[in-house]
Amino acid sequence: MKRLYFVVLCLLMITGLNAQHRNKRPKLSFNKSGKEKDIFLKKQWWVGLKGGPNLSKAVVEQTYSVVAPTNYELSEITKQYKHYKNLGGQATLDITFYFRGFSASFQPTYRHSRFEYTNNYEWTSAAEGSRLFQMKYTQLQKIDYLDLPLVAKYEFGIDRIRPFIQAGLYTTKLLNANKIVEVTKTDFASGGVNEIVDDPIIVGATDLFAKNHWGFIAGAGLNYNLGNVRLNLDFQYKYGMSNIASTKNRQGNDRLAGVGDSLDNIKLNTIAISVGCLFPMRFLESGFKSLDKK
Amino acid sequence: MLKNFTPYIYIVAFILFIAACAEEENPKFDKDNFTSIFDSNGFDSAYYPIDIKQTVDEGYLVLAKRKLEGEFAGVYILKANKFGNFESQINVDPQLVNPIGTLMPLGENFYFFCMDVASKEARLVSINQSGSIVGTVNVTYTYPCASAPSKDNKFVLLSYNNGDKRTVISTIDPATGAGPNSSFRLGVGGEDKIEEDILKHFFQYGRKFPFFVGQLSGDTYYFNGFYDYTLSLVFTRMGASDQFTGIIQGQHEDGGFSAALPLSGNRFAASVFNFGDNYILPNKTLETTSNAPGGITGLGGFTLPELVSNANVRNTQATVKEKSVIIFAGDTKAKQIGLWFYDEASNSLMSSRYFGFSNPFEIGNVSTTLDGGLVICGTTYMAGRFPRICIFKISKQEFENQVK
Repeated sequence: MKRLYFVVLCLLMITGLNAQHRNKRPKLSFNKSGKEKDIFLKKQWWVGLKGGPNLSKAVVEQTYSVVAPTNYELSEITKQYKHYKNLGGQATLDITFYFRGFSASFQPTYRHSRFEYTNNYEWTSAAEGSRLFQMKYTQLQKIDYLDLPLVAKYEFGIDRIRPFIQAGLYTTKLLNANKIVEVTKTDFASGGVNEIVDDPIIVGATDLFAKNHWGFIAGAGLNYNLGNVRLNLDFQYKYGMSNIASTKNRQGNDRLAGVGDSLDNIKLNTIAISVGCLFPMRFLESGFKSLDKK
Repeated sequence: MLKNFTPYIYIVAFILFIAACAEEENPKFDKDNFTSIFDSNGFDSAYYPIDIKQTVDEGYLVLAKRKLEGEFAGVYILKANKFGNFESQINVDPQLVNPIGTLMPLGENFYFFCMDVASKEARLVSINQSGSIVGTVNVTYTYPCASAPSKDNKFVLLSYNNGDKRTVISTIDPATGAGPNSSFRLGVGGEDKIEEDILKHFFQYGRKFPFFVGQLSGDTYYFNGFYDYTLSLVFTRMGASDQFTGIIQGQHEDGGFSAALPLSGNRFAASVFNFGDNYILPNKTLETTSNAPGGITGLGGFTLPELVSNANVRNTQATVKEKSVIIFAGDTKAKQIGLWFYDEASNSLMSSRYFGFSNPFEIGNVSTTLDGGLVICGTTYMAGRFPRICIFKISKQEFENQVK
């Protein structure tokens, strides 16, 4: 929090200094209709919505476990993560300022990410090898985030299809999180093979995750100009740079600690594909026609 | 000039702002609060913790019983680090069995009593801060039941003499294993029935009685054991046999004290069981110099129906936010470890907290920690069937949150 105060203070100081040096802005000249061909696309604000699916990968920085083995290796019960397997989704408000091929885009996003891991335990009898009991925990994390990305884009191509590449930063605020733990036991010791599936444990887990994290964004996409609106296909890779687990409340949920669960320190990488539609905010007259296309 | 750099300054500031959003990392968090379950992959292994104590390196020593073939439970010592991670263990030679609480600090070491499987005599075992055994002293008293530190750097031992069929309280010098004692009869003519029940207490699967022992200020000692057919809290001065200064009788073996912690003078934080029911006495003046009329039934107390019948109860005292707090811990019907926090001054309940879900949990003991938090050890049944040692550590802040 102290770091945050420091940054806010810096921003305020910069703003103040900038105000001291601000000159009068020259009157914009590009607003004169018909002066230049295709002026509509040379400088423009675009606002729109987009959405689509995403897949996530948890990258383990440091592993934690409630269960501490006393006569076998910890690696035998270490969490096994499934990467890019559980489908999530996102919805984005895209606010983009375009100028001569380059864009700065602010894209507040509601993101639902899911990832899963399993733990396996086994107990055997040294005297009788057939006395065997196995247990498997399958733990699904469902997390809702509000992403606040700032992305720079470079657009190229001509006519209607305009590919772009993009890169930027994002910060994320945790909105909600849930965990679902499925417990499967297999008893080989009681006279047969008996598989027992317990009722899943479903718990709110917001406290177990970091309130904020951040990362980098890279990606590419296509804009398709359809009349005055722009259809958008967007591929983004979000590379998490900070821990998404709460270090303070790692074992804050007694129900999960009771089944031996403790979140690792993990960073979350996400692949997101979105389609959407962007609308121009400048050079429009009634009937949604652009001024430069008269 | 500055204007030319302004966009870049904004970008740098934005990057700093975003980086400031990262979760704060601090190893202290992992030390303040944790849960640990110590698992063995042995199908037939079973561990039942008796006591936990913090070591000078802020780690933890756990004294536990372990399942052995035969009548008696083995001795198991576990060392965990300050984060609750496993460090070492000792499966003590099966010649020594039936460890009893508490783990008693003296000098740089910890001490506990257990029993020699052949002679049934007590043994005083000392372990260092790493959990390694550094010495064993022979004690001639048989069938050790309970122990506690005394006021003069010795130990108080409650034991059972099956030859004379007497309950024995003694003080033990850690160097020699010897010391004075007083003994108390089981009851003329009824010894056989009571003795059968007492001996079953020492078997792995027999009913466990809440034996305990200690010293009040001065030369007065107390024990919770059998005297005259009845589980009784007896106050005595060491020396003569069958001589007590005060006694609070239970209901044969169906009622009595399940825990008692001296506060000051004749005041105790205690718990009582009576034909299955449990009563909590956070701050009770007990009669230590006469035969209390009515025995345990005259004590009253708060009922806790959530406790299992004739529950195992442990208690400890701590000062939190300038209040003297009595913490009771016990096994609940929901198969959890329950903690109840009482204000000693007002004799009132402030809050409660429960540990363990999904699998059953049972209390071992509860203790305060060097950082002002609490640590609770117990047994959990992994997969609902394998008894394993568990530790819950809660921070000073969480402990304070329990104190209203």
